Amino acid sequence: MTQIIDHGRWVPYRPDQLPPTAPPNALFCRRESDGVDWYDYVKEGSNFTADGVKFTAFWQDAYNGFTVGAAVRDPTLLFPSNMLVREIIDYRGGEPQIELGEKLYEPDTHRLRQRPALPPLPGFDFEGLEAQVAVLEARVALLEDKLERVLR
Amino acid sequence: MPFNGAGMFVRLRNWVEDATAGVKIRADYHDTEDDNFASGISQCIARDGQSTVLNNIPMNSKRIVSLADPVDPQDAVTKAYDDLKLPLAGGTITGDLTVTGKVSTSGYRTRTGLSGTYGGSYFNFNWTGNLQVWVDNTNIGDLATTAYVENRAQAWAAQYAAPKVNRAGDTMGGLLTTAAGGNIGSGGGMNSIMVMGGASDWAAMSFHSPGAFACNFGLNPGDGNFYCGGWSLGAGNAYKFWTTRNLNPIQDGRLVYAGDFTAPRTGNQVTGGIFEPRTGAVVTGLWFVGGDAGATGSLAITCQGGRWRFMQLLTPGGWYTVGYAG
Repeated sequence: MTQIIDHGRWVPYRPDQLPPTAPPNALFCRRESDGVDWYDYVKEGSNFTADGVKFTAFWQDAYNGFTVGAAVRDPTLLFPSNMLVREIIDYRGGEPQIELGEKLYEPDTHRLRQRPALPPLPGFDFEGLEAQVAVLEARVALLEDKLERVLR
Repeated sequence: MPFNGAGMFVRLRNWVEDATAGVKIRADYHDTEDDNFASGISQCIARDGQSTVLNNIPMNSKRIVSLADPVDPQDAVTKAYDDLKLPLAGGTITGDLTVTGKVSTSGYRTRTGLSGTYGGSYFNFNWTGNLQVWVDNTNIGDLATTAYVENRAQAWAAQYAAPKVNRAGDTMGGLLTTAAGGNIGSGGGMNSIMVMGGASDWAAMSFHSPGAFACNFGLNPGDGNFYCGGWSLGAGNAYKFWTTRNLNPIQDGRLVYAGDFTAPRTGNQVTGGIFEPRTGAVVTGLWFVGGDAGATGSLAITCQGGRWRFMQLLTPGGWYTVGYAG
């Protein structure tokens, strides 16, 4: 059974004072539950397992659920602003981004499932357009005929 | 002589013989005998000290007992008095011996240490040539005077000090090196060479390649930064060294996966736009649906979603995700 660690939900914020090594336009997020900074959380070193797959999940209205965003082993590759962070510590698969990306994640059950296909967008009404064009062309022909008779 | 020379008292008259001889009692005989007694008694030592001994008294191996300790130089001594004196033949002194005069001896017995029993060796001096100390038949060596010791100590110290660097200032004739991992001095919390300036003054060292180039390298007390300058770099010129203390270099950059975003829909219609769905993320791809409009030659295309990535920069503090400037 897949074992998933819940690292919480992360929200954007701006620290009162930037870390001295942070670029001026650095983005920050912190865990909603305890306010810990994401960069500090990663640098602490013991919050993640070395080989576990860490992934983010963000909400998409189109699916009315969370979609997996990034799925990597190196947590520095993540930035979970407005996202959930989870970790699969016994991942047996291959490339996690390919295998997990775009899957739907259910936080309550930790279930990962394939994202359902959305209903196809309706096609363009080419036939109706053609009929309207034909009517317009007929009207144009009548008008041209009238104009020709007036000019005689 | 009332005594016969052997200590025996000799009487002059025998009254029994006179009676037998019909000699009557005569006063002159009695006086003669009494005078003999008196003369004999006067030859004896009066116990109250009136008489003076005229000759040696043979004690016949007998003791004079209850004698008082001597007072005058010619007084006889008692055993108790004599026991307090060191015999000329030798003896043991249990206390300290203080001699205000000279001591002449053929040798002194020394102790083997500050405590314990006396040793069995004798030390003495040989005054022939240098003053030498001997213990029994072993020559320990010459005694050294203060001047000799000081001269020798100075010569010895100079021998070893000569190749050393003088703290008061000196000129190195070679390279100053340390063992691997070793350091010189101890400055602050690290083992290092400390260059200490005056209070609120520069702390600097100089590098000089004679005839080629020279400059100073030092710590500016005003801003805490290191500078090089002066000499070949121009008097009064100081060029700052940039370090991670005053510079936050971007060492690397990358785009990392943020996610694939699907365009919002209302029913079966795509509604609204896709405006930066993740804060700071940039779009790196879009996907569309659509197709040929048929005889009209028109093409209908709908954007269904996009791929978004974060921009990350590597600084000395690690990877940071960055967004818009300002």
